[in-house]
Amino acid sequence: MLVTSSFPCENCGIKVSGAEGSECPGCGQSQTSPGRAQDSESSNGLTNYSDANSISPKTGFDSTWIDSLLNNCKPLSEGDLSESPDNLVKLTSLLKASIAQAPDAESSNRANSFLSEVYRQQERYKESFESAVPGTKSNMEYFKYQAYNSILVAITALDLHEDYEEWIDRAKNINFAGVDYHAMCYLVKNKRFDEALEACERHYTFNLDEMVYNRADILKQADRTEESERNYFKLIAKGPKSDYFSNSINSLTFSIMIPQGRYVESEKLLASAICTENEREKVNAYSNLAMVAFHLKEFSAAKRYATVGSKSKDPAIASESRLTLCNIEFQRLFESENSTDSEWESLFNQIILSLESVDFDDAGKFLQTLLKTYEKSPRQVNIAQVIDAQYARLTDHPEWSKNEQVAIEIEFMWMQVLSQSYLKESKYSSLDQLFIQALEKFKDLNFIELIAYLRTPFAGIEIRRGALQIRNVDFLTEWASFEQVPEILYGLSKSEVESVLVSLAENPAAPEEVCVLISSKVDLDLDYALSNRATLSYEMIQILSKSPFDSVRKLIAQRGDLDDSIYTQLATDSAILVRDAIKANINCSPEIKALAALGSL
Amino acid sequence: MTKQEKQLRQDLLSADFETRITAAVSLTENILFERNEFEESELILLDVLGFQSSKSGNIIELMLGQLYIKMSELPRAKRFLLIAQSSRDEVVMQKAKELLEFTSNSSR
Repeated sequence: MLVTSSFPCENCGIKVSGAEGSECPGCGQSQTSPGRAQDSESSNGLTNYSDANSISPKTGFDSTWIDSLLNNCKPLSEGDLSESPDNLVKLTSLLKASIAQAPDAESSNRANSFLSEVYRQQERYKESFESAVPGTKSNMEYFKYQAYNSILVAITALDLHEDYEEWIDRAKNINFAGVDYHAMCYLVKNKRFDEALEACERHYTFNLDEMVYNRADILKQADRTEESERNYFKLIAKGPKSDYFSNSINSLTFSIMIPQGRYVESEKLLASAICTENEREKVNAYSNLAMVAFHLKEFSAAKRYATVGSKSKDPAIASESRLTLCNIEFQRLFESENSTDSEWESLFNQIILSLESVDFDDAGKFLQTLLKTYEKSPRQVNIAQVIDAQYARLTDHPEWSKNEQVAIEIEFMWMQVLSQSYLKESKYSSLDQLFIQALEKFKDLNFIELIAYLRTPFAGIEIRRGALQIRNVDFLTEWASFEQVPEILYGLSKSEVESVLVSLAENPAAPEEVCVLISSKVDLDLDYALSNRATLSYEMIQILSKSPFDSVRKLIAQRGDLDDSIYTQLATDSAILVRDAIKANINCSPEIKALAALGSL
Repeated sequence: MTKQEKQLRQDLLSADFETRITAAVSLTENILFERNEFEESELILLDVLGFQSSKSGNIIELMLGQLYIKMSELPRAKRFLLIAQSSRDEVVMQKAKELLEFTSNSSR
């Protein structure tokens, strides 16, 4: 998300920085910018069409059909559409059915533009893009700009890199006011921060404070925290009358200072942000203050502030504050010697209750706290069942498919808890099913429960083959140290990661061909690990006795299981430490030792 | 609620920041502290803290320092009193200094 401490534009849904009431840059409504997209003051982008209802004297276009269609849409498109998703679905059906009967191209273009906006509000970006393309051909600016807005939003949301330059150029050519805003969003998402800063500067030419605020946000995302902080302080210095005062304090403390452990500084700033008239930012400041007090281990104060936040009308702030309250209680019980089972149980139930109205962003953190609490509680519940039920509920959440990061976090936790339970109950076929599902998704994570399963003889060859897809180095390194199946060991030897290969080299079960493959890497640590194996084949001894590394040949020379021919070869080695090892090796004959001594002279 | 309290609560909504600050100080110090209504006091004081100009001289931090002493939250009290101690207002500064000494002695 580009801007934090922000609110979604009621018109186009794009996050807008600054105080409530700021004009949205996303749909080009800036009064000072050229090429205004929309003139309406109405509360959402679907009710602006009344301004467009006119018969054009220039083109002679008869707008009767489109006026009638849009008027039919009006009852469905009023109010807060995010709270009435059914209306959006009905609007979609109505528009799709009507477009097929449009009397002319212009009517169809306008209806398509409108449909693209309806899809965009449903976050159906692919369909939004497709409907917007004909919409851009409308000869009326309102519909044309609306369609461009839909297209540029879709390009960023769907990562349509091939389309980006073309549509940005087209939008520039028609003087679409939101072009630099959309460019900024796209460039930030793609971590092209310098270009994003340029776009930010161009877009906010007429609103310096908004420019500084967005600049600070982009710099923060670019990990240029010192510059970001300087920009936030420019706005904070303007005092509480500035629209950006409390937003800047909340963003600065939440994203920069608190993560850096600068709690006292944060507290001083946040305390001054509470005076804001903006209710959302006030509660946000309390919520952040609660976090600061929590980190300072001042639990009573943290609880007071989080309680303020938990009463917020903003579900995200309320949820975050409830999470803080749960964490405060966890910490209090954890640090107290007198905490009772019933207190732990009560916290466990409080978390379950909070999960019912959780903001999806916090769901993973709530589950983590739930698991930690379960560890401490009297454990009268079946945690696998509890987590399974929560998982089933959360997968139905509308954000599940949109917030991949949190969804993965939740799913991984669910897998872990369930697999622990199956392992404990020896439910191997359930485990197989679960892990096959897990291997599809968690290729980059260190799956400790899978390691535990692979250690057992019950994990079949299919699971082992599947686990070879995992890319997590810690997982592979651990697995390579104990795996027994030659085919799998051979599969692991294809890794290019040294720690995995060292683990394999040290694994007594690694077969000859795996050892040969490892030795072909010509790597000191790998050769060293191979030389330390309890048993080595004649071929491996021959290879390692010719290793380019002196310390490896020395290790071989110290062994007691070599043929005299190898001892003799090493007695004349170019490295003195190898010859010395032969001289000191009790398994070598006096002649070979003499040969080594001769070489040393 | 007395007439005075009503007036002070009304003043908390004033458009003038100085009036709000004065009302917050008076309401907490003379009325709410007396009634041990510490949590409400804190909300009222925090609500106006950001409005202080250098002219107000960190009186709100001083009040919060006093409040946290009453609430036995000494580390918090100390932090706010340290800010008040840097006040340009001689009276605020002196009072903060005294209270800081008190908190230091109490925490020994």
